[in-house]
Amino acid sequence: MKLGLSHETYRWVAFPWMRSDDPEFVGEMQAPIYLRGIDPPPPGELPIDWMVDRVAAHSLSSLAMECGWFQDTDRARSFGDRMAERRLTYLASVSVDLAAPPPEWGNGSYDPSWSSRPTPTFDMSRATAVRTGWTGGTPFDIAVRAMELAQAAGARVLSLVHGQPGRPNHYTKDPSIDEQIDRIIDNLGTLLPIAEGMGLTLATENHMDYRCSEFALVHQGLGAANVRHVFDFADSMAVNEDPLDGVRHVARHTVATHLRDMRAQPITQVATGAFYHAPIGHGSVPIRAMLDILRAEAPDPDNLCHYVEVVPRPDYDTEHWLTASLDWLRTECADYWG
Amino acid sequence: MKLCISIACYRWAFQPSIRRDGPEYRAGGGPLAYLQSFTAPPPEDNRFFWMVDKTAELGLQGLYAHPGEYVDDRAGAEAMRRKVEDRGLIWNGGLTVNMAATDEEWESFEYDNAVRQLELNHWAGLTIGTMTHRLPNVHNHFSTDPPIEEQMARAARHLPTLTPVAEDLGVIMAWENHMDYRVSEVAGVVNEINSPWLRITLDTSNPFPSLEDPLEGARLAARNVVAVHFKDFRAQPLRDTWEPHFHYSPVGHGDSPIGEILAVLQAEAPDPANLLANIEISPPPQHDPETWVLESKRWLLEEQGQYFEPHLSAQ
Repeated sequence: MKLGLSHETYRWVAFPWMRSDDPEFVGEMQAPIYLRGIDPPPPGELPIDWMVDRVAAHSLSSLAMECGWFQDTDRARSFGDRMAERRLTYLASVSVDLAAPPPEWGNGSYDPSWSSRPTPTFDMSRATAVRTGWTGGTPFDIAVRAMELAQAAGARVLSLVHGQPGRPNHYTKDPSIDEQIDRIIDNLGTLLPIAEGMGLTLATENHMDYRCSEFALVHQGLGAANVRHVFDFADSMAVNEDPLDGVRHVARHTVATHLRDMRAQPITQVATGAFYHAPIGHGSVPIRAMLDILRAEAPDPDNLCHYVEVVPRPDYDTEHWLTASLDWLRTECADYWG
Repeated sequence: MKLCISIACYRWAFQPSIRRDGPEYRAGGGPLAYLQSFTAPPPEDNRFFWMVDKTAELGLQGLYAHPGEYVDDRAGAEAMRRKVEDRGLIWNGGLTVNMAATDEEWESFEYDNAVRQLELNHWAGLTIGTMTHRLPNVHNHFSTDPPIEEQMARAARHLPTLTPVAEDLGVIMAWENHMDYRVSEVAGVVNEINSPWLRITLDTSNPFPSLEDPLEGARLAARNVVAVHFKDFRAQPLRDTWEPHFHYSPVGHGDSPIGEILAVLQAEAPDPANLLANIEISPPPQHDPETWVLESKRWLLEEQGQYFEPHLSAQ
């Protein structure tokens, strides 16, 4: 197995719309940062090259990143060339409402030669800490455009990330969870032939939206070889699912992971319990037990890349947490990495 | 089922260490209360007696409180008993025990402490004592020293030493999942010990912070449930920080499947007609708990009224 970097690790450091050193953002939402172990990229730009440099700086082998950031195919292709030169691989992702009802999802037909087809774009002025910057077109159109960008950038897998406030999830009741799962199956079904034609594998991803047991039903319903799963180690906790149970449900479909940890404090003075981010190895997620399951059951464990996603609150030093997490993984879990 | 109330509903209003008009609470920087529909008893008053009167005023059938939190002798317990009887109410008692105590801790303190609390329950005239874990912040499902398997092994070893005492005193110990252990873990030990003097108090939302589905928990526990705490949480799985949050809500307004849980308990609990069903909501300290209690009562009686006695009024 291998270690990579999720660009979300640097969300508070480098994402132009949520930088913890941006006075406007800090004034609106968060506490100011105290100590910072890494200089952020120049403001106002999508930090694509900066992310690649961070992958190399931490001696990692791969980068997971939103493909909308490329904005056009040429830029995606150029990125892919630079990654190949540095012998790095790329996992693409896109935010899309997988549970959209049929009229909103889009018509499901695609011909790249159509001059009038919608071309959604990622507009960073629309992005927020909880909302995608994609604009224009239906969720189907966005997913197809993301496939084009991912393919141009040299990705083999495109992760379709549903979770976002305002979209249906495990807890919402209209429509029911069964109806949501049916919609996801139907919607993904319209994308699979297109992905196959592009040589891409599509992946679901548990992103604080559904239980892995629910994604397993999606995979069961699709039964297709070119739909897999990106497993997040901690997100099961957001939907009241034991992470160890979660990985058991999806391990055999898993082609990549987001490696995270969280600390559970089940009883607190306000008596609701609390879950807090933790450096990897310092939380309550049974990392080693989960790695064991993935090594035993994932379809290609030798090439399974775990994208380290360390996302402390914005007033913490992300670089300090990332370094501590990698130190723990490389010492306490050394036997898992090739 | 008997519709009752947990004294914890008013904890921010009158529990000495955290009452929101007290110096400890103010020093912590918490927001002060706004627009309250009731007046809390002054610190020097007997808050248990106040709660008994409040329970009757709310039109509920009984209350849940541990006698050991208020008195430490027979006379005190008997005075509490008379107060409850005078108002014609039911009382769900309680005790607290370190479930993960070492053998030495059990023999040197925990056993005697538990026996003393059982005696207080007995003197107070109680037949069901909800049993909570004394050190949930130290030992719980997520703590690893010792691991959860050893914690439950210790509970399975120690609790049988109390069941003969409970039988002698006529007090059923009803172990609650109290934001510490999963219902599956509690039920596992209770089933293993298999004593009519060791049963379960089911909390309907405490499974959330221990990562267990509340309905699955209810199914595992139902055949041993003699009391229930109606608590409801609203889940906020995705926030800007990516740290999920659970928020209290009035019963019926959150994400705990209360209706489904009630159906399971009605079908499988040993004595559903006499099951002590306690509203236990504890809104954020600045909010008005009484408004939440009344709305929870209304929802339970209007939306789930088939499980409760018909003379109870939703208003």
